[in-house]
Amino acid sequence: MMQLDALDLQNRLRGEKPVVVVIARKRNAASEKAIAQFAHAAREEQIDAVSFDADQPHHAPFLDELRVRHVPEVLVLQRGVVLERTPGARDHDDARSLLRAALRRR
Amino acid sequence: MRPHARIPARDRRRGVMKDMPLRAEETDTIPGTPFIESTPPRPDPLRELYDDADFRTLYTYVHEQKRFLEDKAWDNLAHVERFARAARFIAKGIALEAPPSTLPTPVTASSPPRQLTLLERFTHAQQRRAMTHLLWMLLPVSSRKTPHLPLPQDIARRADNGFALQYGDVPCISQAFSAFLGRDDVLPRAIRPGVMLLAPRHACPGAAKGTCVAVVVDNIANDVARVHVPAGIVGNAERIDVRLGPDGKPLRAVDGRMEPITLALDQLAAWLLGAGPDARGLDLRSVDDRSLLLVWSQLLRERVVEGKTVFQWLETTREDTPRAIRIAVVDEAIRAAIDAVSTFTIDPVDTRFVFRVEENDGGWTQRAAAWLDDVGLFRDIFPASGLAPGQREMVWADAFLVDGYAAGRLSSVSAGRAFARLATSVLAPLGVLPLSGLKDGSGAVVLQRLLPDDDDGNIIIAPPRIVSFEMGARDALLFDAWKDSFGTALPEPKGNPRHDVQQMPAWLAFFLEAVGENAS
Repeated sequence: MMQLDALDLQNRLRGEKPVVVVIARKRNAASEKAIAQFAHAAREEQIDAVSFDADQPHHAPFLDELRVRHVPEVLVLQRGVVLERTPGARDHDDARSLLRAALRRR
Repeated sequence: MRPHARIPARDRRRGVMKDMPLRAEETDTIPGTPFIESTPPRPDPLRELYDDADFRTLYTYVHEQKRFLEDKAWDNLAHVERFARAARFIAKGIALEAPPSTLPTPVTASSPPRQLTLLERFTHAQQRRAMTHLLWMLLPVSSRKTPHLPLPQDIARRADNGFALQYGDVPCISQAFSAFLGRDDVLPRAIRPGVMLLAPRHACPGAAKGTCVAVVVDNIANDVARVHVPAGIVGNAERIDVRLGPDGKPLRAVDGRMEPITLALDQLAAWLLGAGPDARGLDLRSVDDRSLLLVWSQLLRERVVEGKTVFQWLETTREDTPRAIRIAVVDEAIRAAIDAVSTFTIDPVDTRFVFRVEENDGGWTQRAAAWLDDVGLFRDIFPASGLAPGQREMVWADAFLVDGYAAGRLSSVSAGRAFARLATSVLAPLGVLPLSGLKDGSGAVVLQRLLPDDDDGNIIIAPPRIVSFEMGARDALLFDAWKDSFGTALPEPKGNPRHDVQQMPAWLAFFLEAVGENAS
């Protein structure tokens, strides 16, 4: 999964194409699990998924703007609107179900 | 026994449910009517669960423990321990009274086959809802701030039928509620001197909150409104009549004079009617949206205004019904919509466990965390703003519940979006205009309400409200929320869908027609 900095991410979020953003932390098992689950689910749904490091100091304003409080936290965005936010998923099926619900594909 | 039975023509006309058991007197053959195959009744998932011996054991345990915990609201460890025992019983089948770290019974060559656990046997969304409700009852009091109820019995039973709509499920809302919106001069009658409205930030950056500013119209000339910012909205002691810059100093024109605050009527109308970038109504093809609509309708039947249910008022109100009653009915319809979303779903983040565990001190938090770890189902999450030493946060609800309204699990954002869809379909025609898609990702929805004024035919605009589903449902005045720096990231209306108020009577008719077409 591609890791983006705040500026790149700001540009991606406003696009027409939905994007999954996994707010993660390095050397954190829960973050790695969320990245794996949502990367897989996003690939199946044919949308992009990126990760975003919560511990970079210059990412703090962006995290504040989106009121991110937990790691991992997964955001699904389209045209700058948050369609879903979840603290990870139970398993792969759950991740896919969350994405499909956010994109109203079921 | 007859191999097939027939449904009388009168029942076919009124759209009888496909799986409704036929009455004995209706199974006689009537010449000329078509035969339908009789099918064995489908098992009721909830009945199946309630008949299960393990579930009954769990049910008895939960209610006994709930009584035991009634006067022990302070004892969080006692609550967590019982919660963990019940969760372990559901997930692993370990006896409810077993000590911690008890392993499931080992399987040997001579032992009978392992019995599947409740979690393995009962995967239907409504069965999982029922189990989760029992667990919710054992949560510490502070975690039970937001209610979680199973769907009403009558509606839950329809899960197997995909919550198919039937005639009479949804109120046939009287046109009396939306007639005042259909007038040609609805906007001139709404946007007039004395009315408070939301406006873009650039109108007065020094008095803005986030992307917008609240203004009161002073006068209107040539489609341009002269406005002021009223006192008290953003902590200003006095009203503000001139444009202030972000530094709070007056902005001056080229000739040095202070600029009055003026706005084109189009801009004010756009902020009043903006629906948000992601606005949409209910999708009646979706199981979640159908079940939400059914629950809202059910709540309308339970609320009473002046001796009649809100459901009845919505169907029977006429133009000459007192204005106070019409307003009270819409008030209740809004509250029912909020409750329909918040009361029947759980947000895994809202109901998470939060502990501060000290290193091996043997305190209650450490023992509580150990009990939850013992269940082996729950996930840890961590604060985004750095590591808090010793803090543990555990999410449990998504281990049991599937995602979605019908299944009983929605994040605060999903809950807000569900409410916005319901409001767009059923509240907007009543004059309650939702604005969703706030930029802060909170999922909150702003409601701007138009009210009829019977005396002069004008339209009153009520102060905007904000509804959010973070840490329980919250319905507050937008200006009060601003004091907590909440609700300031409103989406700008430019390029986004807007409510076409003059078409509301027609939209309501189309929506009810669509409900009728979906009804079996």
